[in-house]
Amino acid sequence: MARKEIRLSSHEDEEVEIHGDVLEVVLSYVPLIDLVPASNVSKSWRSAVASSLRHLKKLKPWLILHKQSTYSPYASITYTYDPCSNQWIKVSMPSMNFFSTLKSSQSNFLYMMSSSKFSFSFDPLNSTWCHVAPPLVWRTDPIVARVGDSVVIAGGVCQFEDDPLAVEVYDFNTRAWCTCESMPESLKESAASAWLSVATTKGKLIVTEKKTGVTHWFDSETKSWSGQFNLNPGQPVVNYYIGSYEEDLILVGFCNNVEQFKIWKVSAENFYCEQIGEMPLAFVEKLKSECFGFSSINVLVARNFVYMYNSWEVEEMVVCELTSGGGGIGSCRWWSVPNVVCRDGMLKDRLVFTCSEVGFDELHRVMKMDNWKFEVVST
Amino acid sequence: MSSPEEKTLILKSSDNEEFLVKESVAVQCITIKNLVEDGCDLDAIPLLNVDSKNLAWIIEFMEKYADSTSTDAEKKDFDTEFVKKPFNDVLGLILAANYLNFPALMDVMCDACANEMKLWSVEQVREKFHIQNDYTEEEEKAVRAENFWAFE
Repeated sequence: MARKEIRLSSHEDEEVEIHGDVLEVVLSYVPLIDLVPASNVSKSWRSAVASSLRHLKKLKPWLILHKQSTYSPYASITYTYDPCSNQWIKVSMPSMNFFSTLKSSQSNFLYMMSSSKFSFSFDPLNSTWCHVAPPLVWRTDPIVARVGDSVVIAGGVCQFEDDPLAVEVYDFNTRAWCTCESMPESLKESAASAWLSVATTKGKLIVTEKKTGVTHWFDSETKSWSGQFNLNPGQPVVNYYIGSYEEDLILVGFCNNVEQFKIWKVSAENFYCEQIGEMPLAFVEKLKSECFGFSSINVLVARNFVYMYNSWEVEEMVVCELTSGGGGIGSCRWWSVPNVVCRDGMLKDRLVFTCSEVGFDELHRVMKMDNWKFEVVST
Repeated sequence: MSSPEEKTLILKSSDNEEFLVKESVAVQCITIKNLVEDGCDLDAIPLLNVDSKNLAWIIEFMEKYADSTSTDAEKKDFDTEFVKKPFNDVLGLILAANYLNFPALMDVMCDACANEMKLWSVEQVREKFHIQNDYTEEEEKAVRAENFWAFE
């Protein structure tokens, strides 16, 4: 290990100074939220923070929770969870006009929709919102996802509309909606966010039926659908949840014969499934709802992190960190996180979760914005 | 039944104090492990960058961690008490752990250091780490304006 500077400490009172490589190691232990003030200590610390982030610190995706009132003006409070420091942080931001309830059907995409407006945000801390005209077809529970330079909205149409499988795409370049090829007929009974799990990879939007594993994909370039393919993890899975993982996919499946959640890596080319982990039983218990069992689990995937919770009783979240080993297949580290919002809070408000990779520059930028405040929630 | 003779090393601090440590304990420091493996035949291993105060603490830590009977919970309790030292000493131990290449100690001390930093303002960090503020007046103003709350 190269050492740039070392000071001797032979007297009780001599001041010890930390520089160079050693400082970078110390900084790699500091949570992201504290690295921002650390980078303001001096010029040499600023470059040490940057160097430490480049070489030593692996950033881990944050879980972001929006607790929103169900009544107008739909006021919302945001909390973020940093897995590096295992801390919840309360985020205060300038009040925004929430004209509707916040929704998300893709891990890092947040949106609101009314008959006159469609607003969405996909930057890590949701500091920037785009407001556009609403799509032509009124939808209550669609799949909404950002794919490349566009936002795809599919399904979720009221029963009495003409086409329950309608798909529209909003192009950032033309700033307009266009109607595209509808979803495949086989998805007629399940064309809503409640029934479909969504992931995006390489310009494709992939949708998987949660109950059956039947998968289709939408190409945002050709604006057409392909499939179907039936995911086959080789075990009796009753609930399928997918997410983007590097260039491929992650499948989290619930096997009801052993009452256990397992994780597979799925190739985006040929959908071949390779098991990479299973949830320890102690954590499976935490996801079980008293009344509804495992029927409404939500799974969020970002980078190598999987966050899971039961949307009926979100008292605890289960987190899985996938670590790559030799040959591409590694191991899983599991732990649980108590929800920062207590039970009473959950009863009167809606909770919407997203997860994204929050980087130092992003955090630094947002912390400088007027009226943004980050406070660590003391446990 | 006789157990094999356990080799003991003599570690000499920068202020010439000698400490006896079992080889199996001392090799937790990779620097010492490398010296032993390379066939170091000196009477005592001189540790030029570690004084007796720090070396005594490091040996205390090494012996706790080498003890196969101590549980993870016991080690955690030990760590919690061990890091309760004046901050200057925490920094001294970090430097020593880095010099000796002792990963377990480095981990515990860096963690403790990071924990302390969480509660400090930018000025307190400068004071505790003895850092010279190298921003010009204008730069300092700009930085303060960015993060006024961190300067309280």
